[in-house]
Amino acid sequence: MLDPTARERLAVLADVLIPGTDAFPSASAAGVPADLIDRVLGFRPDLVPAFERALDLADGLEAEAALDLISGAHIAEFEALSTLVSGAYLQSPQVQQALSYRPAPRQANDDIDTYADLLEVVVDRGFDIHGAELS
Amino acid sequence: MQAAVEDADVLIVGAGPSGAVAAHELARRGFKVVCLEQGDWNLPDDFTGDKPSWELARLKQWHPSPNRRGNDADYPINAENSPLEPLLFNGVGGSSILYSGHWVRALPSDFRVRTLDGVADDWPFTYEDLRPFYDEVTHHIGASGLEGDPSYPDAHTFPLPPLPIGKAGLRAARGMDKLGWHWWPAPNAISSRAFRNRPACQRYGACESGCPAGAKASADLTYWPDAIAAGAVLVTGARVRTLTTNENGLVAGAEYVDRDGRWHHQRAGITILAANGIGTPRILLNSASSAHPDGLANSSGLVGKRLMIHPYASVYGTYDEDLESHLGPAGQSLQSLQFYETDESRGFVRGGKWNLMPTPGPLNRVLWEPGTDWRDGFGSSFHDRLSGTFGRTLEWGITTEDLPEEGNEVVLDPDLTDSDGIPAAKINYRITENNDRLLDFHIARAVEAHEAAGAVSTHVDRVVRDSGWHLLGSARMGEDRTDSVVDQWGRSHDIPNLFVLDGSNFVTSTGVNPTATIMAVALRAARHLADHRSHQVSAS
Repeated sequence: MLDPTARERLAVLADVLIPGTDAFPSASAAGVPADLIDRVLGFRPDLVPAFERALDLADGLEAEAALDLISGAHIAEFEALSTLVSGAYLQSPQVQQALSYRPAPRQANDDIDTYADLLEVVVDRGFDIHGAELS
Repeated sequence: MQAAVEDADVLIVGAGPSGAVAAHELARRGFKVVCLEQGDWNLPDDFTGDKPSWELARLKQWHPSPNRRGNDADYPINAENSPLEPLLFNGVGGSSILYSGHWVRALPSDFRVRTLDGVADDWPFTYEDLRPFYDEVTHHIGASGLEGDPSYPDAHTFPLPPLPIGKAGLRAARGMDKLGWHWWPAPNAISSRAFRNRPACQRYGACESGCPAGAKASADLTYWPDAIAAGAVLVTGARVRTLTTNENGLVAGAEYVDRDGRWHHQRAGITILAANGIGTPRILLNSASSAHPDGLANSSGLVGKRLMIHPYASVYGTYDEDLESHLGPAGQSLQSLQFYETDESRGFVRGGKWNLMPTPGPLNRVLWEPGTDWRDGFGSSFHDRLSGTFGRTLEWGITTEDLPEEGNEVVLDPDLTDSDGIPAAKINYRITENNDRLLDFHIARAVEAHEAAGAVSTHVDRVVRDSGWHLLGSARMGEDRTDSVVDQWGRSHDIPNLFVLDGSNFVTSTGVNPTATIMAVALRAARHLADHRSHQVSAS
């Protein structure tokens, strides 16, 4: 569980990584530093140490400077930070709606009729099969 | 040491596709079969493709690299000397648990590359010899596809109709049509309709991290229930260290360790290795003794040599409309064999198979590439990157034929061991000059295919590191015992009660996804073994 200081630091970094637009919320507005980061840390406990080190590295730095430092010299830490922030952001129903993302399940409907005419051309063209006579 | 079960007629090491086929065939023919598998069973609900954790879990817990995954059942592989990361899964069903289910049979020319192209070696049998076994396995597992592909000499059938190609497949097909190039709705080992114990595909697109619907034809679902019903005994959590030999020079069985660290010896009259193109040579090399200083079945010196992995290129096209390219199957929607056969004017021999695949999951679109400026994908770039590519990006993936080279090899690492202290494998592998030229040609054509389909941009990953699914050739078949490890039935030239039935026995790699061929070859060999039981040497 992140303490309030770490959560505040995360919010600043996350909003620089994922700012808001007219269509999409920022990372903070989507809830990344609140419950969503806790959820994804639960999915990937192996990333917790590198993620915490990334937050520690940002201590006392402006957000962009911190991200430059971490991504330039601490690859594992930046991978953990960026993957978890992005992963948390994409958990948000608000974000999925803005993205028009309607995940499966879907039915696997037969759609042969949509391409049967194109396939006739492939069949008519034929194929130069090598070595069939050697079988 | 103690025996876990009574003496077996046949011991199979590995419960993947080839082990499952062999276990079923031999158990139903009356053999007492025991299979040792170092992993465990997985149920569809274990997979995360239908859960919020999926995209993060597939980067770790369900990653196809055992090095990345690091499960208890996994063994490490030193791949520092390889541009390709070996990918496999240890569990009942083997790597078919995580495979993408491209169910492609090889072409006639694949079995005659020496005769036709003057390279490598011909296989000891032909496409026609293998065809009945392709047909039988295809119908047993419930593959989906459309008969009549003109690139094959026969209009082979499928028990299930093809999976939908969707908006994305149709867009790509129109591009291929403009160019006059071959394409076909792709064959997949994924059920398009309910089939036996499997429901229809639900299009999660999570095939490569385990099918949460249970629609993919992994060997735990297709063959093991039947094999067990026929009497086969499957022991999970059983990691084999070495094969043992008796005073007659025959294989007597295998030493293995269970998950509680207890060592056992399983005796058997006949032993079959089905542990994949790295696991099988690892066991043979780890079985070295004073009688077999270079490892078992290795008088040819070719155990571990001639490893082929199929360098794989991804050519992505991004389009100006939502093509729902996040939907499965993944799986392939189309395949093309336009540039499969040799055309020497291209500057190389042999060719490759193309598969059109979706790009499931939004997280995959925004992951940071180490070494790049974070501003390229984050900050003000983030939303353009996400919205501009998600659902709009298609992959033409190119499996390129990998010709055998003795320098491409599986050896034992001098230092690395698994969690039980058993020496681990190391692979030394480089991409050949022929393959470099082949890659460049195919990539350029795939870019053209995207452009013909109207892509607004393309992106090439020339050699995808995490693509080493196809581990082939490291204990090859052949007629001559001086330049092959096993004969056409998978039987060791040196030890007549030892068989290799996984992809290690491939003579060449073919240019297609190998599982259909691995299973057909295994079925052909197991049936021959059963048919000729009275002549088979046994340690019992």
